[in-house]
Amino acid sequence: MGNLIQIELYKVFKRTRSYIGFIAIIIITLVAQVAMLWEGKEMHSFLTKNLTDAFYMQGNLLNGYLMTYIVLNFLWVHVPLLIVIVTGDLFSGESHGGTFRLILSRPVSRFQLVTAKFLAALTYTFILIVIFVIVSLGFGILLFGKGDLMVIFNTINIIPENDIMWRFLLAFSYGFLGMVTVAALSLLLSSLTNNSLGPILSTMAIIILFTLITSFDFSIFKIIKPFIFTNYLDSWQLLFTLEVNVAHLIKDAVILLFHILVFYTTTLVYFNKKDILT
Amino acid sequence: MLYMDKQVIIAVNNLSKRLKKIQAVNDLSFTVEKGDIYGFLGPNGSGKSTTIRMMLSLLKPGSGSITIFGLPLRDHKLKILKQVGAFIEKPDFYEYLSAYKNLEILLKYSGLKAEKNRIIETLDLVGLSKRSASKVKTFSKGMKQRLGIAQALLHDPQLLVLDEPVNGLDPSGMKDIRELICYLNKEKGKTIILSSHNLHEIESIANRMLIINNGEKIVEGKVSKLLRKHSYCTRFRVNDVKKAKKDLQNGDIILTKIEIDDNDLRVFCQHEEIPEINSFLVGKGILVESIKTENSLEDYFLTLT
Repeated sequence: MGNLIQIELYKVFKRTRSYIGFIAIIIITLVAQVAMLWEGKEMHSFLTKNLTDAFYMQGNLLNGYLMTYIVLNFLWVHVPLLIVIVTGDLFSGESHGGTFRLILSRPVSRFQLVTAKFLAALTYTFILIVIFVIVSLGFGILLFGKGDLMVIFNTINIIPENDIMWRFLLAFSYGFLGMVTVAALSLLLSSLTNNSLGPILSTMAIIILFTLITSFDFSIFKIIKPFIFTNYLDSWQLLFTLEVNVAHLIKDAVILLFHILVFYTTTLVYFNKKDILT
Repeated sequence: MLYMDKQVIIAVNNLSKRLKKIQAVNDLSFTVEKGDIYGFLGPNGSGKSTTIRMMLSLLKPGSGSITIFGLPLRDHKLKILKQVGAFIEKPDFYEYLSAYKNLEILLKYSGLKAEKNRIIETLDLVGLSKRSASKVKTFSKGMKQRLGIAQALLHDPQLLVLDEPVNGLDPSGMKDIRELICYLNKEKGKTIILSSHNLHEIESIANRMLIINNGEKIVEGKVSKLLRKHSYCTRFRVNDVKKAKKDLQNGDIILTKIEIDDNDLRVFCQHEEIPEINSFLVGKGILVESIKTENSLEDYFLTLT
């Protein structure tokens, strides 16, 4: 099994497209932070104008932690695309290239192959998230320094500087879980088709559609929202409230885990029966 | 599994497979014996590749059974595939990797250590050792074909399943691969299934063969026996084709068919009748410049399918 994972990872990291995600996430995060450095103070004053009329604010509120929080908010929308560029091709690329014939006419179990590909996708996602952590948090602190984190989520939450880091680490871990769900969905779609572009586009289309459903408060959508995984992708924000609702966070994490399990099992069952015709 | 005194390597029984609306293979049964070079013939879409893919577990049989090395394929897939090397239809590889790296990966998929010597020796066997470091995307079709054969041989399997292995090769390459197949069979004792459209290839190197059409078995047996039943087409180059044809038609030798083709007379006859026809023509004052047997199996194949 270890051998198969090693081969899958070798194939992933030998392809140029695998590095697009890494480069993109570094560039996007740095560009966002440099832009904040340039005009962040004016933006922050504008956003907190109403608050400064009532409160006296002291210290460095435009700090690395706030930058990381802002970057986290808008990047979780783009990170799935960077992940599915690689994971969406793991099965369909082999089908399209005819290489499944080479692999599966050898003593390789389909169960092990699906699992190896799933674990390779998981590893790639983990590396991407680690780079995201290093660049957003590392460069954020380097450029803006440290300070208390002020987050407006339901209410004004001012989290002391010495109480922040564990929240970010858990937020990134939860974000990783969300991105693994996206990767698992793209793997499932990848196993269904023989062309590389289809699973990438269809995963993104599903995420966009689900996000739209999650965003609108129509009564018809309210019924289906609990069954849509995108509804749980941004639950990491719960970590940036003064009293973290742990039970809610765990429940959402379990729902994401359940989705991962369903996507993985469906891939396994389908691929095990699949006729290799390419 | 032993039938008579021969060891049966592959036994296919009542195999059927439907692909969408097409009955690709229908109640097909055949056996391949140890040491065979087994020719697998049939026109395009006859079900050859579907059968081969089922033998390699790439397709699930609709019904019927496949037994390889005496073990049912359905229950012992991984054990069986350890001893099978396959080249299926066209050589597809990881184009962004070198020939060496492709073979290294495939050796690991076979559960074996990626020994450098083994990879280089196999590449050397197909004449690609000098290009081992080149990426496959830089290879010509013929080179990919050779690499396809190399990957089938890589793990030293007992059984080789080769589907159109000389496609895209130049004449010298074809000769090399045919010689290699004969060498692997005679010297290394490998059992080989050879699916090919090149009927001369089957005729020249296979000892047993199966002809299928529309997914059904047409005939199976020893190549020599099957051909003995069939009239050879023999081309006589003579100085007067019209007279030769007339004389032969009026003569005592019973012939299936006589045709004129430019300066040649195409005569369909049994192999042992050729000297008799030659003497007859010479006796009638016709100058016979050359005698050439052609397309024997091809005609036989066309007659059957």
